[in-house]
Amino acid sequence: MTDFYEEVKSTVDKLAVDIANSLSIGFVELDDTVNVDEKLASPDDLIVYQMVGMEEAPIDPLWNLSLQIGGKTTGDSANYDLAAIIGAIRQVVYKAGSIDIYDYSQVTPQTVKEGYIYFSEVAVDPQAFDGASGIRMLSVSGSVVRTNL
Amino acid sequence: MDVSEAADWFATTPLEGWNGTAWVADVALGDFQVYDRFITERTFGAKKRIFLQPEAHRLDTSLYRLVRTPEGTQWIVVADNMDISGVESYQNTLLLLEASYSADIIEFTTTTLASGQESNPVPSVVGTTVCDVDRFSIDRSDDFSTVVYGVVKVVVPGDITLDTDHELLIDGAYYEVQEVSRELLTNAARALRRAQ
Repeated sequence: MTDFYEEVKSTVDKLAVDIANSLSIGFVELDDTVNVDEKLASPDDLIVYQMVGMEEAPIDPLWNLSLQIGGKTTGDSANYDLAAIIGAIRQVVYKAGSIDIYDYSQVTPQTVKEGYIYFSEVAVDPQAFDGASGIRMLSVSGSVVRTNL
Repeated sequence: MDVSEAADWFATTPLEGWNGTAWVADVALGDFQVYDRFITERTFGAKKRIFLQPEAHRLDTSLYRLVRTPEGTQWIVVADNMDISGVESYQNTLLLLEASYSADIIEFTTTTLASGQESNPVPSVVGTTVCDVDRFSIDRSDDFSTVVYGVVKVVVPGDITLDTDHELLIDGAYYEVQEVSRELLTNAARALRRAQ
């Protein structure tokens, strides 16, 4: 049986990958130690994300979740490409929005809804840069409810 | 005097060629030259040798990139150069590199999960080849000054393809291929020994 944290994590992965696919760009998870250096050093535009934390609030099945999701662009002098990525993310991840949680950690997606994530805070962070690339993230906080008890 | 006659006179050593599946006898005839290793790079004479072959008995390097001498030593064909007298080639000079190591070529495959992320890579051996290994430096970690990595150069026959996604298993140690390059008739890789 898959742990609830893993289900939430796979849902965050799916969220980021779906946004990347809709923009026809790549993606990288900042905690992916296998690929992150190579991808951040590439000139490709990317969705960049990281699941920061998740804790019971006050106790399971209620949880707090924090994550970061944003974009990386290169050769984007006016930063409009990056702004467009941020805009695409904000169409999916917005205050008072929600997404359903499924177990996407296997090859075949599970059909049983495990819960949902409710986004309570979505803030655009200051832009940073890594060498030739600009990176801007959104700090997202939310509440998670496990409904499949 | 026709210089090709001299080349023919000394050509007494036959070579076998590896065609990818089997050894083929008598693919070339020539003789090894003796050079002092100290006149040039450190590997020369020790494991890199010159093989002179008359034009009529030259190796077809488009078919054979790995040859074997009668006593069983395997050699990677590094270069093939014509020796020209007037307007005609009278012999060819092969540069051979002794292939005294064997390497398993390991490839990693992943599966796309429902989330869109990749599964953990699964290693599989996709081939085995002879090779030459030359340890030439260490590499210090950017993060930990006490951590060093062994860096080697691995040379394989030119018909063996290496990729930066590959790992090589040589003498029980795993090497991550960091960079590949075509060097004359060989393929070469800069590889980093990884912790096991």
